[in-house]
Amino acid sequence: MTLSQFIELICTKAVFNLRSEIQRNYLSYAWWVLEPLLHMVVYYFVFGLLLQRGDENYLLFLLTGLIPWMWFMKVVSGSSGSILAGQNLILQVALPPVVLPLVSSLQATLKQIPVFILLFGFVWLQGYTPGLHWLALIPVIIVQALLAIAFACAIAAVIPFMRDLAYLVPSGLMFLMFLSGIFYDYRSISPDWQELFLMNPIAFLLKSYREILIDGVLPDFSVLIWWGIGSGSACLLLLLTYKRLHYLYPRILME
Amino acid sequence: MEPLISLQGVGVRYRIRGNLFRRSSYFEALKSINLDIYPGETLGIIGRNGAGKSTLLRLISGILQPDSGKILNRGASVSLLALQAGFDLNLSGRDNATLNGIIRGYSRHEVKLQLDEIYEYSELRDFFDKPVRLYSAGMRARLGFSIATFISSDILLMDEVMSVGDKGFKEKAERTMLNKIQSNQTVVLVSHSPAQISRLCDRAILIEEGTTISAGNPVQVIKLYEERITCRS
Repeated sequence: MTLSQFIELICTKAVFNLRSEIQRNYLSYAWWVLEPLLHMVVYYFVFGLLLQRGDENYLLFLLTGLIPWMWFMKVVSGSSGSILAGQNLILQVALPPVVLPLVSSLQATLKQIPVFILLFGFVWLQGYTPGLHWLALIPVIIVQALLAIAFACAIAAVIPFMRDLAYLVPSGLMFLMFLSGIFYDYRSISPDWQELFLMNPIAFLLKSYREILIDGVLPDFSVLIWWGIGSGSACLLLLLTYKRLHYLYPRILME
Repeated sequence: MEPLISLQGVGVRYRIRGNLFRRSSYFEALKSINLDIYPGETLGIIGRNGAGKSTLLRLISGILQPDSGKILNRGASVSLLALQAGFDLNLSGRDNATLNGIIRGYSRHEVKLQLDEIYEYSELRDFFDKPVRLYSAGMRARLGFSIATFISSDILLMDEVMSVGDKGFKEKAERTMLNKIQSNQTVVLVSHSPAQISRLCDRAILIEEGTTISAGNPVQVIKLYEERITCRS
């Protein structure tokens, strides 16, 4: 399979899967925006109103953390079981198994595009005018995409061998969610822990989004580039691993 | 003539996964299969349920690798077609045909060129643009067969695809198969119908419990198959 065939297959399958998904619901595409909005309402109600966290800008603070987090979470949770779910396909066609987590990742990403556009519109409406510093969002988004793909492909690769792991993915993601500073500012934790806290790449990325969108400053590129190199290398390593395990997956899926 | 694909003493063993309370065990799906597929021939594979036919097709199509023995593929592209293979029930027949073609290595543009012919051949009319979940089993089989007819590789593997569908379509499918045979398409056909194998195939093999029992003239192979079935029952 050539690279262009590989890319065309992933793009077409992701678009067709989305088409299939919206056929099942009455509200179809509207769910792509409604679902994150519902999450936002729940978290705002609990953390903003009941627990009285943050100031008058809390909604903006929450959204600039929640929406990038939801993208990561949906890519990882959607892809984690993709090889098991694609069992029929893998047993019918000599298809590279890595196609399946990549399709799920792209599918989750395409659904997040309108949500991100709404987020940027909302930030602008709040008086945070877009400027040249918004261009820094591009590397932040690229690094997040690489990181999410690396996590998604790694978990999807392991689950067929250790199926019980699938039960740990939701708990792991929830743990990561509470450790990433979505509902609270990392500066509100003890200064002794802040450096360690920001070693969590998601916490660092959410901080970067907020620096660009709310503080109007550029993120720390010296750290961002290392996360980019690390995630990119992990993606390449995973591609090679999938290639090596190509013939093992149909066997494992038949067990 | 040099075979496109040769299987030499091929064996496949599956592991049956254990758990906390049960040990893993193994099951030999294929013990020793010897088989050559020559260009332009139509080879029939016959055998009872559980004989190892599906595993054999997965080996030929490159989905599985054998645990023992050797497979030599001299550069032939292979596609496996089973009933309702990979159909997404929420997508239309048209979308499923497109997706099927791309999964089998065709570009979207190449598939698009074939869609009108698939539409005509399948006789699904308006249903071609309706979700596949609304199709009857026969309609799904028609779609599957039509896709295989127009989106084929050097070797076309057909797993029971001609056994469903109304009488008219079955006859049409057989005529198409005969045309393919005459036009030198290499076909490997798995069927439970001895009559179909003897009508369509140049050569047949009988497999039983993962071993090649007989290979050669379809009439003789089928005779042996029927004798063995009678003995067993």
